[in-house]
Amino acid sequence: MSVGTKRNWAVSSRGAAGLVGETTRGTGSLAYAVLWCPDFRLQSVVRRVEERHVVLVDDAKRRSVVLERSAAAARYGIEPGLGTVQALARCPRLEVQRPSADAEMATSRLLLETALEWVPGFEESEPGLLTLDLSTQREIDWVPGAEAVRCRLGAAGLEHWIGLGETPSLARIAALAARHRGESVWWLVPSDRAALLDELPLQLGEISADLRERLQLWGIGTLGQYARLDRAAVAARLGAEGVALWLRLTGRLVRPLQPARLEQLFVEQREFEYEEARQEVLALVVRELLGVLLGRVERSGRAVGAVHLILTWTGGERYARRFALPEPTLDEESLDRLINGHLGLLEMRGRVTAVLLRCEVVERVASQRTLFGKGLQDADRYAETLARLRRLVGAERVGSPRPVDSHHPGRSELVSLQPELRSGVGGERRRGPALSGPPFFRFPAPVSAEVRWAGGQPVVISSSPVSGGVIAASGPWLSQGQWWDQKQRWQRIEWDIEVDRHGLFRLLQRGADWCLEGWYG
Amino acid sequence: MSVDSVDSLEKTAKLLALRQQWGSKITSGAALLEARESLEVHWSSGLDWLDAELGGGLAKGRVTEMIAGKQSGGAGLVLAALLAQARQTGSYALLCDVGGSFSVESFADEDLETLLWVGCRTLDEAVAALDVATRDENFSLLLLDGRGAVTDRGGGVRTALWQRLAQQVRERGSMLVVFSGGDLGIPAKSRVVLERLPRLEDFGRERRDLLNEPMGRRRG
Repeated sequence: MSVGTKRNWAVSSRGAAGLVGETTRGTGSLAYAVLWCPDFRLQSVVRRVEERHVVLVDDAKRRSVVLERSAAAARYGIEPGLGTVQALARCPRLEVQRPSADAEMATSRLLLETALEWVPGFEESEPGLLTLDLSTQREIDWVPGAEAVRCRLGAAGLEHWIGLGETPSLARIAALAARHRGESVWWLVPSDRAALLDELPLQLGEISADLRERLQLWGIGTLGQYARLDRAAVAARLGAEGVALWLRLTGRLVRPLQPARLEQLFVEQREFEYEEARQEVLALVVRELLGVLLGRVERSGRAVGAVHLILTWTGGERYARRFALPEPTLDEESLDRLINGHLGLLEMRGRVTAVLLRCEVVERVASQRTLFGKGLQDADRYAETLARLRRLVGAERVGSPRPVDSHHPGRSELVSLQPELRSGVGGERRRGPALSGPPFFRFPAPVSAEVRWAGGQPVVISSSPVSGGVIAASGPWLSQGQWWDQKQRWQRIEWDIEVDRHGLFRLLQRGADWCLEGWYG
Repeated sequence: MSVDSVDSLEKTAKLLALRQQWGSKITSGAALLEARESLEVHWSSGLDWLDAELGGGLAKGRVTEMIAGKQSGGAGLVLAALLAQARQTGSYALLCDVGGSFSVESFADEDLETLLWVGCRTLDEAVAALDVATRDENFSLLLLDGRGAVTDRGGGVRTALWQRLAQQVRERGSMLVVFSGGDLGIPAKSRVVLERLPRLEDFGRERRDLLNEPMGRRRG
């Protein structure tokens, strides 16, 4: 595959260094590249197809037909749609291949990964054709970037062409032109666009045969000639298809790219052929897979929001777990600790034959603490601690306690601890009256008590936590709530009592009996 | 004379020469540890009397025990002060509550924002929870309310576990405060005996006034 050497936009196959001075000249608006692997399905099955006589056939139907063919096979007059038997008759050396979804998936991943190494944003316009947004790259880096892509895909044996242009449409035309001219990279420089288009035949405009025929009848043989036509005249005589081509060629058809779905890139699996996946090996493999995945996620400009772990045991049984992260991260150490920490506690029901990791990617959190703001130092670590504490004592017994809107004493709820403090640190208290008296603490369950009364006041108490004379008492304190609900209604009668040499306690009436609910201290 | 003996003599001679050269600049490991002990950093508890008793506040990287008897004694007030101080300084606190006696309504709402509560059924469970929490640098203040626990020498908790907690606290420079009803066998750096018996008239006094009154003294 040769590389173009055309004027100031040409890319030298001997390297990009000599080109840098030229590429930076007057090409300010160029921002797209198209990476094109023609005959994608065929190339997924057979690599290095240039000189091989090979076709991809669809023999699922009654009559087997050619789907794609190599350039060498095309020289024998083999075209898509031709019957396989006829194709074999035309070229006795013909290799016949069938499509493979797995191979296509693998090739697609290779393409996406290669593109991701160049730019973070791109569109998978069609199978085997990616449109890359170069706006994140310096102009000086475009050529080295294209060269790196060429090297990687070339090493993988994928025949491909790269076109550069100021719009996605022009970049696509440039990629088609690259193939037409036999140059691996072709640059449709904006300043020389008209002249460059003059060298391209009409079929590179991907127009219908009808329109092409009409244009040829009018004596228009190149895309450059077409681009010079008056827009109104084109619209009047050639209709929507003609106008669309004119807009594409003049760089006036700009569309936003649909970001490629990269999910398939964020999955990695490792199978253990000899079923020797001991815990230590598993930990190492998980770490290795994480490293690969995080590298890809980072290159996509995003972060990991959650990780899925799927283990396959001998016999095909599977174990799956999703690790949700408190905040998006790219910290390999934290993720490794999280997953391998979990694996360490996991009961291995058999030998692990395969491990799969999948990252859910999200946009990075664009937040920054205020200068004097405070919060958790390590949210990932906190999530890990929380998970372990919940396992230890139960999820319902861990959390940040908050009072609920009720007059019923002791009603509270547990919420998540805020990773960032909502209000400023220090300063005056923000709400509510000043607290008074010592805080109250509850016994795990109210403790029954025998109470002796005199003059309507408790004077002696006898119970397991405390017994003695009551030297002061305050009460009775009556409270009730939800009286409108037969099932939920409640009523309480309390006394606060000071027991000689023991302190303050709360006495609570339960039916006809009394009990100690807790103490103040 | 064997080769080994010659080597040994040479080493001794070199060590002597080194000592002569550097003199007092050479210290033993024990001396280094002692020096490190003396460089304690304190965190103000927000209670003047307690800071005075502890020589400036709670020592970072240390365990402090508050012995309060089973009930009363003022432990609740100290706990409230520590939570308020943690909130004031933007530090996160974790409370392992043996028996689940903590009552939300007795504490200021904003002081709860930095508190993670762990309800533990037994002291063993609380120590296991602390074993997890002391490894997390997010929590600089770790509290164990063990007043409801059995008091016969740790309620079954082995000394080795306490030592392990103390080691983890030391490594991370956090503070562990244990409220106990008796001797739990804790390797505490400081012990404070809380002796304040609340009175009925305390209900009419603001919390901050109560906190300013000395409630205990350091022991040992």
